[in-house]
Amino acid sequence: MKGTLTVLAMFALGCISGALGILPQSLADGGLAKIVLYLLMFLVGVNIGGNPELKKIFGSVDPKLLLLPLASVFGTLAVTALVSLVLPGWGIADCLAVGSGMGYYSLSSILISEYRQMALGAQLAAELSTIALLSNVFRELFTLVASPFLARKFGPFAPIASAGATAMDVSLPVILRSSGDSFLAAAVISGVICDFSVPLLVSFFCSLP
Amino acid sequence: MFYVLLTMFAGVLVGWLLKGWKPVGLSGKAVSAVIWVMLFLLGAEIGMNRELLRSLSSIGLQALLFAAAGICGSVIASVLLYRLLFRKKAE
Repeated sequence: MKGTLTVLAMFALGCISGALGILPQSLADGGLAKIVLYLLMFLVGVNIGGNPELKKIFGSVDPKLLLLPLASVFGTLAVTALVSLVLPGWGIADCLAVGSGMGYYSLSSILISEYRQMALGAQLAAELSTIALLSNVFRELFTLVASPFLARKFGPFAPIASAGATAMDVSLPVILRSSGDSFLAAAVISGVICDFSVPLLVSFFCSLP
Repeated sequence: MFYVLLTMFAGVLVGWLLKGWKPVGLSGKAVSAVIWVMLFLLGAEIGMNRELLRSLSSIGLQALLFAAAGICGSVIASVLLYRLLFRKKAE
């Protein structure tokens, strides 16, 4: 929660300083952002590879639980694709790129702003990446607030599915409280797999015409 | 884009090989810090973009729609999965 607020604050700070015109104009073309992106992706990889629990988490678990993140991703993508019917400005690939953020707002919006430029042009790519940022923040906030309701109404898997990639960190405490402590492995596995799917799926959908 | 993914997999390999080395344990914190920088830059790009600033309210509404779609889809799928595979065990 505190992390989410910091992220939003940094984003807002960037927006405001950009709008006030106190930043060098050279920042507007995203060249520096691209270099930082590589650094970020490398560190995300180190973080996944260096997790000492990696083997333990995946070693002794009901393999059927692997279906939960798949269901969460496919469910998200299926309904998000329908959004393109309501918002005629965006194609299916645009909508799927936003949906496959799975709550990982920072990474998905950064990837979209870099890689959707080819298909949409810089202006629309910036707009789509802002939509991705906000929608994935909304998704995380909703999960944090509504998990007890989701678990009661739709079963213990619902908060985990709704959390997407955040099931293993930000949303984990509230998931355990809502679904029960026995769902720790399910939540962490689902979070790790969704997390891993974000860079793969977002860049895949961005590469579509 | 290929190179970005390659960079990530290089990171996975490095992290796995150097597991237990102290700086690797700090990579989670480093990710947060770099994300802050990245989002500041992203915000700056948007802030310098007059056209985008003007359409911010429409963007917010579209974002809400996307969030609702993602949540509904994933929750429906999780309910189906739970009923199909797991409910029997609990009974």
